Amino acid sequence: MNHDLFHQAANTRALGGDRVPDVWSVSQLNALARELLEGSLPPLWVAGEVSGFKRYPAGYCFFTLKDKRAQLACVMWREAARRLPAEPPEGMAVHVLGYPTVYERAGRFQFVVRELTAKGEGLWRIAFERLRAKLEAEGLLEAARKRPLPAFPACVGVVTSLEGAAIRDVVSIIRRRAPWTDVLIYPARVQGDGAAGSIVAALRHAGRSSRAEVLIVGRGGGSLEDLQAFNDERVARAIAASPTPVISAVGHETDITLADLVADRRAPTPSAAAELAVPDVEPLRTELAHTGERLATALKGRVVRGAQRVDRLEERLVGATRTILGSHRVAVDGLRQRLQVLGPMAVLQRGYVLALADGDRIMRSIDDFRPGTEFTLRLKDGRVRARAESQSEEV
Amino acid sequence: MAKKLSLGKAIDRLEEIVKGLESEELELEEALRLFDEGMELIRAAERELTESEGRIKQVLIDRRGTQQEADVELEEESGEP
Repeated sequence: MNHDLFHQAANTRALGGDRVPDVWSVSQLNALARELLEGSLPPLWVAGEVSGFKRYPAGYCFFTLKDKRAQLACVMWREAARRLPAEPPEGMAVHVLGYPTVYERAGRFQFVVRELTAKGEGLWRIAFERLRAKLEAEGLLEAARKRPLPAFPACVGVVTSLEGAAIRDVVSIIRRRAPWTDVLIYPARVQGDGAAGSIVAALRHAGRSSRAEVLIVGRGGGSLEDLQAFNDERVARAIAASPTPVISAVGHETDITLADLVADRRAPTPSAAAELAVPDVEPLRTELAHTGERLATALKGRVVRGAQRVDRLEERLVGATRTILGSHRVAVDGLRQRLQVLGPMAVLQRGYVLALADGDRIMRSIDDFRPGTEFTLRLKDGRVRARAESQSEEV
Repeated sequence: MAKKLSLGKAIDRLEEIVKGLESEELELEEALRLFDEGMELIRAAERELTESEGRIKQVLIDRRGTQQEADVELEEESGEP
C-alpha cells in the first residue's frame, strides 16, 4: 500500500476544507479511490480481447476487456465511441488507450477508453465490409450503373481540398494534356471531423450547377484513418446520386474505399484521375490530321465515282442518240417516199401536164387563160412555152 | 467570354461527316459541302487545341447556396512528391 499517495490525497482534501474523517463514508472512500487512481497513472495502452460490447442509445458503450487470467470493465463515452468505425466483434484483439477509474456509485473499478484500435485494420475493415454489403444489396455497386466518361469534357469539376498536392496534380495534368479545359474546384475538407459532410455538400453543389461534365473526387495519399471520409456511407451515396459521372481518386494504393466502389471510374491517385478525365492533346492532333486526310480521300473517291458515272451516262446518251437517229432516218426515208408519191412529179409521170404562169404559179381556171396569155407547160420531161387562143367552159 | 468550341461535338460531327463521305452516294454538291464543313471543323478544333486556355476557378457557396466562381491561388508545385 502506498501510504504517501493516500496521505497526499487526504491532505489535499484537508486543505480544501474537508476534515480527514475518523470513519469514512462509502461515498468518501469511493471518491478518494477515484482520485487516487486517476491521479496516479498517466493515460496508458492496454491490450486484450473484447467481450460483450454494447452500445447504448445515448451513445456510450460498455464492454469487457479480457486476457487469459483477468478482465477489465471498460466504458467509452460518446465522443470516443463516435470515432469507432464499427463495433468490435466478440473476441477481437484490441488495444485501448485510456485511464483506470472508480465508478463511485457502483464502487466499480473500470477503465475509461478514449481510443480503441484493432490490430491492423480490423475495425475499418469490418465497417467497410458491412457498408459494402449494404450498398451492394441496394444495387449501387453494379457495373450497369457505371456511366461512360465524356471523351472531351469542356469543364472538369474537382471535389477536394485546396491545400495539399492532390489539386495541384490534377490542375497541372489537365493543363498539360488538355489546356483548353475549364477546371472548377469545389473545395471540401477531406479528413478529420466534418470531412464527410463537407464532401457531400461539395458534390451536391457540383451536381446542381452541372457546369462540370465529369467530377474528380478525392485526395492525396494518407494514413488509413485519413481516408475514412471516403468510406463514409453519406459520401458513397452522394457519389452514387451524382448526376455527373464521378471519378474517385483516393490516394491509397492498397485499399479500395466505398467511394471507389460507387464511382463511375476509379483512379488510384488524383493524377491518374486527371488523366482519365481529359484526352491528351498530342494524339488528338494526330487524329485530327488523319481525319483531314480521310476527308480528302473520301471526297476524291466521291469525285472519281462521279466522273465514272458521267462516263457511263455519256455512253448511254450516245447509244440512245444513235438509236434515236437511226429510227429517225427510217422515218425520213418513208416520208420522202410518201412525199414523192404525193408530189407533182409522180402525177406528171402519169401523163398529166401542169400549166404554170409567170413565177411558176399553177394556173387552175379558164380565167387564167385570157386569149393571148403566154404560159409554160410542164411535162414529165421538160417545159413548153405556149399561148392561149380561146376559152370555153366546156369541160 | 468567347463562345468555346465544343471539342466533343466537333469531333462527333467530324466522324459523321467522314463516314457520310466514305459510304454514301451523295450528290457532288453535298459531298463538297460536307468536305468544306469537315475541313472548317478540323481547323477550328486545331485552333482550340493550340490557342484556347481553360479557366481554373474555385466555386464558393454563400449562405443561400448560391454558387460563385472565384480565382484560386494554388501553391506552386514543391519538390515533394
